[in-house]
Amino acid sequence: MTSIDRFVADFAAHLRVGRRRRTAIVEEVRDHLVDAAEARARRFGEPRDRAEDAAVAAFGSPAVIARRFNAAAGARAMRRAPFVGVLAGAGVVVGFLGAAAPQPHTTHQATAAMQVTFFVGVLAFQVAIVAGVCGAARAAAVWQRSASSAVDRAFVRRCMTVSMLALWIGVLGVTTNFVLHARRSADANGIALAAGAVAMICVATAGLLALVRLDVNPDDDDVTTPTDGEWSALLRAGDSVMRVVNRHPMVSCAAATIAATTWAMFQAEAPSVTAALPWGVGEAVTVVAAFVLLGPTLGLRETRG
Amino acid sequence: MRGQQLKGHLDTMVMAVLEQGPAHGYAIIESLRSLSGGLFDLPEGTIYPVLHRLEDAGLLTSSQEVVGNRSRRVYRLAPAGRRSLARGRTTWRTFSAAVTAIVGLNPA
Repeated sequence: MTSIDRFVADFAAHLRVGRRRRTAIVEEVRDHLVDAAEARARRFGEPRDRAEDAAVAAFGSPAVIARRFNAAAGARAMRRAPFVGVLAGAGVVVGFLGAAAPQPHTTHQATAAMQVTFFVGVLAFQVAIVAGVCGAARAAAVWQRSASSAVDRAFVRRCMTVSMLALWIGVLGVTTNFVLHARRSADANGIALAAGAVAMICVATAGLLALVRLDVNPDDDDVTTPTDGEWSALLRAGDSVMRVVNRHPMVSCAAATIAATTWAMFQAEAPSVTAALPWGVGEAVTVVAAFVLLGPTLGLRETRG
Repeated sequence: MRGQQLKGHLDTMVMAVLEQGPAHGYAIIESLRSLSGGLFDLPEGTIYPVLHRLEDAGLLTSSQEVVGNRSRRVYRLAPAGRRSLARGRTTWRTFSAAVTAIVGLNPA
């Protein structure tokens, strides 16, 4: 085994990227070392083994170089995160369409088990949405950057993990609730809910698998300054909003109340502020309070360094 | 010159080299070394994560091509890379003019 072979094996052992990319990177590094060794042998008339040793020494530490590739892999995973969030949101909407559509069978009394499963499911969906929005906002903020910091990766990973696990729980809760309503299982709502549940389970599983690439060593930060893309300022808007909500929960509550009340008015057959306001206040306060109170525990709120 | 001193400038320098024409990683390192008169003698492996990052960011493109009877990954500057390089040049000129104005002061 030559010194180039040993170096390449050591380098490959430190790489944590996808299989196809690993093959391409390792080949590229090997080609570089072969070129460099040949150039040295030609230029200085060195024997082949000494030229290879010198080429390996000039390349740098295999662990350090591999860590920089790993940081780039983390940045790519960050770029995928918003799409996972959007898919998860779409799954939740499909599921809710099934659950919230007019039910033809409302004559039987809901049991305690039905109420608990429905409550757990809906609560879990709300947590999934809030966590998903937090993670997607941060991921979008750094989407066009050519590298992401370990702090950002860890935050997005935490948010997406909470979101995907909550999605699983939500699917389990609402589906169980639906199964308990056995008589509804064959109607159109059941088909919509089943499609939504399958979509949500697939998305949650895909999301958790995608998070594996975000599980990179905190030391894997790239030492060069990340390059911003042309739309970076626009993409940072979501993350900026989340930070404002974090700092000013009362103002955010008021804004969310106005938004929720307006939405409720447009939904009503006879729009009335008096009728819509209590619902709007309830929704807004619940969501923002959940974010402010549960945020630190779930890791959805953090102080940026 | 140490890698830390080049921090933040390597991306722009790599794009400036590729503005002259497509090149593979080893050729880019050689260009950086020769254009800087041997001053930028970085660990050679440093260049590859930078190239991959810039490609992921859409600033470079690459393709597998035969160079000197060998298959090599050759990098090119993408249109977005040209715009980013123009911005990097402006930033560098402003920064270096300001540093020169301060550091270049003669003792009173």
